[in-house]
Amino acid sequence: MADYETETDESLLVHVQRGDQRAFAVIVTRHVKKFHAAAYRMCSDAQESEDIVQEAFLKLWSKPQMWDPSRGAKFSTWFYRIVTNLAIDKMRRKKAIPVGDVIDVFSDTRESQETELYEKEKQGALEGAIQSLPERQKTALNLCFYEGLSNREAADIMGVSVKALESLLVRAKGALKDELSRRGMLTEPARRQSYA
Amino acid sequence: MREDVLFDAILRERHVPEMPTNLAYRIIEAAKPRGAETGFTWTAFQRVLSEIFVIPQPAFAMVVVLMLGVYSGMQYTSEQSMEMTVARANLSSFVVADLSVDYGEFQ
Repeated sequence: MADYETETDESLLVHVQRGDQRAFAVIVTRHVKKFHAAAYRMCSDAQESEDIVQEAFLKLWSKPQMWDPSRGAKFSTWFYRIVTNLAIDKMRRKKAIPVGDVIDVFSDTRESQETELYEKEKQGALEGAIQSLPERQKTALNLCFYEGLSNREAADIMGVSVKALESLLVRAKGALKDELSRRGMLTEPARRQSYA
Repeated sequence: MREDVLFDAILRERHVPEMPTNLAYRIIEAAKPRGAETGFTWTAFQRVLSEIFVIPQPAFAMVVVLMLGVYSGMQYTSEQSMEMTVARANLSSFVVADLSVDYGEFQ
């Protein structure tokens, strides 16, 4: 019996295309965390991100021929496109997420209430600012900054040129900086004192 | 410059909640029915059969019963007619006098 754990994603996909459930299980186990995080960064909704990543993997399982090895793309790069597109579809059907929903995800294990409040506020503001970016700017930021993809890979996923992607990144970071600055988050000592 | 460093640091602190531990399992389980449908299994075969002959398809069941009835009826008729032919042959051979036989003074 083949040891699937040591096989590359691309060779596992060949097995998946033959309906091999064990190969599919290895792919899911290997990548689910990464793509769950990617989905969450796109939609800022824990439940929605689970649905997105599940839908994406089931799509791969039901239509494995979607993966075309002759194109030479890495599995993860190709699958980011599936997850990103699903997340964008879901977001378009949904209204904007209130910041209050975003900050509820934190546990109660913080050392003190003050620190917890500060962290919640900071994360809520950051998440709110990112979610308020235009869709393409947010996608570019997520793929390049958070998922660590190269500009070329991110541009391929988004179906734009590298130049256009770089422009989207610059605009996204500029808008975020302005927003965080406006909220006083870029002057750390002063901001922390305000919660103390 | 310091603002840029702080900005990058804040971006990197973005929080993502922990993934549910059973998410991978759920996905793998959800994919299973498709695997069962592609291959032949005895259970799947029985399910298909029961779906055909189950009560919600009375018209189909009636047709099958009717065809079975007609078939068995025809079998019975043809067997009976064969038996009748044999019996008639026996009777005629018994009744009809064979003239080649010399019956003597009775003729």
